[in-house]
Amino acid sequence: MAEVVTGKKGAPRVDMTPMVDLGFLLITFFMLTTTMSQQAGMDIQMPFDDGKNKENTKIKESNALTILLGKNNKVFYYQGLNEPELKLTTFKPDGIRKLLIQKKAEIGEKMFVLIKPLPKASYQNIVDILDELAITAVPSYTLTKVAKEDQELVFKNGYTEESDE
Amino acid sequence: MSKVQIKKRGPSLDMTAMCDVAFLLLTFFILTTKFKKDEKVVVDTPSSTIEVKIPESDVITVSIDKKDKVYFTVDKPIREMVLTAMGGAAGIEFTDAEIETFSNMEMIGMPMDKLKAYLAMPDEDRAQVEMEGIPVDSTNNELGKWLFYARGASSEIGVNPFIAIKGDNKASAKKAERVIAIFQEPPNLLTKFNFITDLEQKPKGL
Repeated sequence: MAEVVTGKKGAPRVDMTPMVDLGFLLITFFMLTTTMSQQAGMDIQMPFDDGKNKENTKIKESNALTILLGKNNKVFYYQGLNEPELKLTTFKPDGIRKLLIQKKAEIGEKMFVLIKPLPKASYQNIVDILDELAITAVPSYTLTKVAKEDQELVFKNGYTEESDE
Repeated sequence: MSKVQIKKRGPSLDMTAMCDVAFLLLTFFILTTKFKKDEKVVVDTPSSTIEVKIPESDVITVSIDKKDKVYFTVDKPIREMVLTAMGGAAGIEFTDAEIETFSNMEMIGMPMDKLKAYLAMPDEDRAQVEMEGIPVDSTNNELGKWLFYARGASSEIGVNPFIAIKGDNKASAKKAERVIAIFQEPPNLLTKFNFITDLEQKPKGL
């Protein structure tokens, strides 16, 4: 009997190329739409203030470094509290960061930084300075309201654009 | 002369494995993609190097946009409770439809006296109206109340909320200070919170 040769048995070959194309197209789409920007939090611990306890923690004057945040990302600072000399620096790495590292080396672990945003400072400035303090690992710092004396000091040095209005 | 004819054909490649990989990756990206929610209020946060993860749920966020307007966001499960409590305190009763609308809103930024009218608007009209921001003055400190009731509602369902300030780069420091002051004031007396920032690479060589 003659045999009918049916050829090789097996599943029919499917051309996968268009399917792969489609797969990669979709991958590209999802890769591009995925939001990779992660949101992070920055821990803030403020002092307890119920309006009654007005006793301030005493810190040695010379250990205190006051940073005033001004308009257009200006950073003023002075050390000590008695007749201080106001200096100006920037948010650049060789500005405030270098200063903080240097002061930290000078004063040591007792260093205390007071951050006072002037009326024209932006929210970004606050985050930036807190970030710098975290980068330079300054042991203790606080964010407080700017005092009248600080503002007067800034005016006295000729930065009159830092006023409230 | 006889020629041996060789058919010219590209080498046939088995695409099956490639296809498998492609679809595996595709599945991964589909599952991990989270589409950005359509936010009416744009808050462009500053970046920092500090990495504290923000939890997915139980977050109370106070946002400050670049026009210094303050918005309040609570998680969906407690939104209704917070609104009812706020309404109760202000003597405003909200209808079910208004509560429903409120539950679907990401950020709330209207003074209490205008909130009811805002929620009662048809959807298309509401989209046109710009929110005014929550009042934070010492005479009309609604933000403090929102926060107070939101924390109350959170503790009622037994969660400890993560409280964060999300400010725009261009928001003023003054407004941020005011919001922080409201956190610290009675009745909230809140001293531990977070700033939401974008992640930034840590500088090297320190």
